Amino acid sequence: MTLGLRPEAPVNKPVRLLLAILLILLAIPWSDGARQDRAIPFHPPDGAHWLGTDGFGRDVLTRLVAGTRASLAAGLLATALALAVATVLGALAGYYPGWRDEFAMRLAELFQSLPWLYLVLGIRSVLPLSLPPSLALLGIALVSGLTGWTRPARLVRGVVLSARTRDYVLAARAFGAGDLYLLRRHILPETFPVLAVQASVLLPQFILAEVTLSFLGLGIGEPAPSLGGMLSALRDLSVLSTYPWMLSPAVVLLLTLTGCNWLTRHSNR
Amino acid sequence: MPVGVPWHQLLLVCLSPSLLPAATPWEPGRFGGQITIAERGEPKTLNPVLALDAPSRDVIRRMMGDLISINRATQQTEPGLAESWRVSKDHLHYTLTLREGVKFSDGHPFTADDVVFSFAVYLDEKLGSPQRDLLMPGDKPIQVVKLDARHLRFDLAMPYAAAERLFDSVAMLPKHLLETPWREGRFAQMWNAGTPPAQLAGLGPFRLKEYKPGESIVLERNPFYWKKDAAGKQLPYLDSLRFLFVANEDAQVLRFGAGETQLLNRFAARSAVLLPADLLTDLGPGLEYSFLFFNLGETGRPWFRDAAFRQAVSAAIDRDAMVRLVFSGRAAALATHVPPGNAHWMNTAVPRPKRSLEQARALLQKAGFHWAADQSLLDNTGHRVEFSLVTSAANEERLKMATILQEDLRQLGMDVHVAPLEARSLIDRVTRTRQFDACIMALGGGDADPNSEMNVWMSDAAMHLWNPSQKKPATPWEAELDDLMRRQMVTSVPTVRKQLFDRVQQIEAQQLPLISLVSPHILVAASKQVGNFRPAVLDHYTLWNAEYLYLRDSGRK
Amino acid sequence: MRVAWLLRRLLHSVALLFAVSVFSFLLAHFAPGGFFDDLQLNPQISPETVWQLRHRYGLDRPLPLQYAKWAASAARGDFGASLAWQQPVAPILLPRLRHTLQLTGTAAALAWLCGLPLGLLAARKRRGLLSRLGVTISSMLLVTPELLLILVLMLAAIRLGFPGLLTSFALPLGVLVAGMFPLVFLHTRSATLEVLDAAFIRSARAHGIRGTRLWLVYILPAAGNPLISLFGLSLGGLVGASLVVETVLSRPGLGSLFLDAIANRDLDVVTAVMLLSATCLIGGNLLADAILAWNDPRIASGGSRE
Repeated sequence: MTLGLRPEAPVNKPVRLLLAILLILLAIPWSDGARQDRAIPFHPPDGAHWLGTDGFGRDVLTRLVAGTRASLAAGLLATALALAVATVLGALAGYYPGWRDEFAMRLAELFQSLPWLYLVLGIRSVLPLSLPPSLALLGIALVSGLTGWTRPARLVRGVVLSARTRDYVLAARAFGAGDLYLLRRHILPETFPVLAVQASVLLPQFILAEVTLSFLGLGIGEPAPSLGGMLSALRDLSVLSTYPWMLSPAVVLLLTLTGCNWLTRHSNR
Repeated sequence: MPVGVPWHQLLLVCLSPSLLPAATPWEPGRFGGQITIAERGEPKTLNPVLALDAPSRDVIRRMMGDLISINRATQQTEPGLAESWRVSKDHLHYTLTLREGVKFSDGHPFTADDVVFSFAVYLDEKLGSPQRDLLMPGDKPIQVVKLDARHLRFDLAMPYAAAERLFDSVAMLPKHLLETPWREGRFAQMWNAGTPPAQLAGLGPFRLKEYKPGESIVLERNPFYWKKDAAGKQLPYLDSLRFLFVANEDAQVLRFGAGETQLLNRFAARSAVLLPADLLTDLGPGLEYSFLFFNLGETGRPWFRDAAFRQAVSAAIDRDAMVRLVFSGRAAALATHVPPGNAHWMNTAVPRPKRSLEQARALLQKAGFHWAADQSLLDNTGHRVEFSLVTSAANEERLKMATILQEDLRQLGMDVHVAPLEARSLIDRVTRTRQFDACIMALGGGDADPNSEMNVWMSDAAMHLWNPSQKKPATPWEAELDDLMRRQMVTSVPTVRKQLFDRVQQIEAQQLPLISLVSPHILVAASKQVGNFRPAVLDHYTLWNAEYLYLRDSGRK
Repeated sequence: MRVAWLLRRLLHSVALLFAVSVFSFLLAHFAPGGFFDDLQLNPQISPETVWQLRHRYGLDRPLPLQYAKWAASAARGDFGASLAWQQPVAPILLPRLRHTLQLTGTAAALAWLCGLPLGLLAARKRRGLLSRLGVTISSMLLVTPELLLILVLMLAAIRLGFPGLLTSFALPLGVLVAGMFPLVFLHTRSATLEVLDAAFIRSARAHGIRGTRLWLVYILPAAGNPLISLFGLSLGGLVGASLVVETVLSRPGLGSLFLDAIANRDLDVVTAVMLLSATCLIGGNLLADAILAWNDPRIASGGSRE
């Protein structure tokens, strides 16, 4: 795959190193960082708090690690879900023009045109108020995934449309290859670049969407941290302009994204 | 105050005159220029009878006149369109004398007929004006009788303390423009945001000049305005007043900092650091109070109904941390729902709450709670004490308070799940389905008088948040509250009312149906150019004296 | 063939719009709370008054009846009546729609004018400076929440002494372009790279086809399909793209109107805006499909693959 930097580029080494660090941090057990030390709100980074503290005197590093884990889990799950639905429906639509194409694409348009917010609110109102974190994560992934598949689906369809008339596909068909075989061996691989880009677009979108969802009562609630939640603290301009260490979740998100590009690139080659 | 509730201006009642500054004369101003102020939302309508949202009311109020006004700085009534009034001995009849020669902003004269017409519209049951309930003390509409072109009598069905204050913010309407539409049932559609300026007429200092959808609304000087300054010159000083629609508060502060607006009408303490300190005015605590309450009804947990449980919770709350971490020190910790901003009605005998986890633990232990090996709190049947806490997700301050509260109660071994909810979903849960355990809210936008909160304290009322609409009081203390509140409403002797309401606060502090948290300071800012800037803790904080505001030099940057 | 295809698509689109209006209406009623609920938290307004208001505006009537009322109003061209604004929805929406489209249209055009050529150039030298820089900047823009970007730009404009920027057209435009550009750039780059690796390009090169001809005749058409779809999608997003920007920067568009209407449950306004944005979306997709079909007539002819 072709996004991001080439593996052999020298710049990539620090990226890999950071990725490794990130993975290690994710692997080791870590507290949720809910402990408040109210004597030191917005304390700058020092030996005890490497990335400083937030407005409640909670350790930013601890929360960052725990938050990254939660947000990444939800974000990746949502992205996988969205891309899976997109691939199936997009390929279906692109490969079988006619009513199946019509149906899948009109369905996508319908999905894109509805006020999902209200549905989320409606569902929230019948759920119990205290959601266990795992259920909340699943909810976020489901909502994001089910509303986010439409754009990649259209793009996949565009690729499949042109791929299915390529000479080698026609040739393979002439040799008696079935639809499923053709899709799997010759056509779907062509959709990977589009999917890879979409993954890098959707992942941050979904991680940020968690903030909106928590506004609707369906987020990863306090005191459990999330990347989106930590980023939303920056909406407060006074925080952003006075306490630069609060920007660390944005840096982590960027690194994560670079890492994801790197991973998709390598898994396909 | 819940988001968007427009009752700031509905009623401002009884504060003791002695505690407040006496009226100081206004500086003679310079004529001309324009002041721009940011408004959080767009006014949806210019119809004073039906406007529900705060932005609409903020704008309308500058264009409309009332018979008797409350001076926001002194909090005393002063003559408006009525130059004087008399009250009968039984407090049931008010006779008002209108000013002579007053004209609407279209030049049409204002008479007693307009007053009769206006009240008929406000009291029209079919229209459902949000102000209607206010004009019906004792559930009977106020009767308006025209005596002659300049004299009117208002008859009340029952005595109502300081009823002249009800006239504040009841905008007088032009009969010549609105009577036909009203009779034809088209009143609700009149004076919407798209109405051309020529079809509007009011009695306020300004009138509509230009409305740019989504962007701004500009008011211009009303050439027929009746009020004059001390030198006898016709007000207002300003040529025009511009409301700029900026929904985001940080953006409002930034625009003020850039000199694009001259006034900043109340903003959160966290934004204060973005402003030069010399432009900022901290008016101290206002009338707003935020509080925690439990669902004491059938859908709530059994512990909530135990006063000792509520007392323990209150003792565990670190209100000072809330003041410091959430409001940067610009708030006051509360003992009862009456904030220090309401100096007259506050019961100073109720001690200021002090945080004490030991006391909280002792209270819980005495009430039969105990702790498991992992420090979690168990009730007398061995169940873990865990519950959810809902609050409006749109209010950053309340969310932060919830986070502090959660940690405070964790130290008692309680497991609290904070569930931020979108505003309407929250209202639905609290007022209709009652599917919640605990909630953080705030009330008290603009009224000081206990009368305005009858619906909160009466056990049969819908706003009796902890257990609303009871057929008969569920507890003895609620029965006593009902009695006290009913008595204070009809008593006309101020000292007796005060005693009764002091007792209400005493019961409140013991039983804690509302666990009061903090009252935020009112923060406003004005450019140095603005003269006669005298912000008040009552709404509208900065524009209440718009007719006197002026610009010191050229007026435009 | 193509005309018939286009007609059929148009018909489908109209049916789809109808479905959107029905589903929007249903979903909107799914959410708890209603327009007048705010009043319930006002201690000075009695529950009876709130109930009466609800009754007067027909909010207590069965859903099909409410929908029929809305549909009748839509047929008249009013698209419902706003509870908050006390007037028909269409005259509130239309002037704002014009402003929104001006802003988003310019932004989309700019994003494509920059993103497409830069993406192609970046693909030409995949290890070049432009490629690396472009990908890094795009990734950074992707992870920056829009609101954050706006506030930082506002702060920067003031601190650096350009307060005039706050009211300028350039600031919202810049923010929107920053949101749209990464998508165009990344997709162009990766689609082109994929084509460059393909066998037919290698053979074209082996046949000595190079330079502009190679790019225009071989590479772009091959890389084009996903880009055409993306173009359709960015046309489709024109109505919804600027909500936050407009609200924060006081632009006279649909932004604050729509966000307010959602929060206040002013459902006719919500339904109308959803319908508008659906129209835009469906129109954009239709246009993209028409281009695709024109590019490759077999698409229009449906099941002609055998």
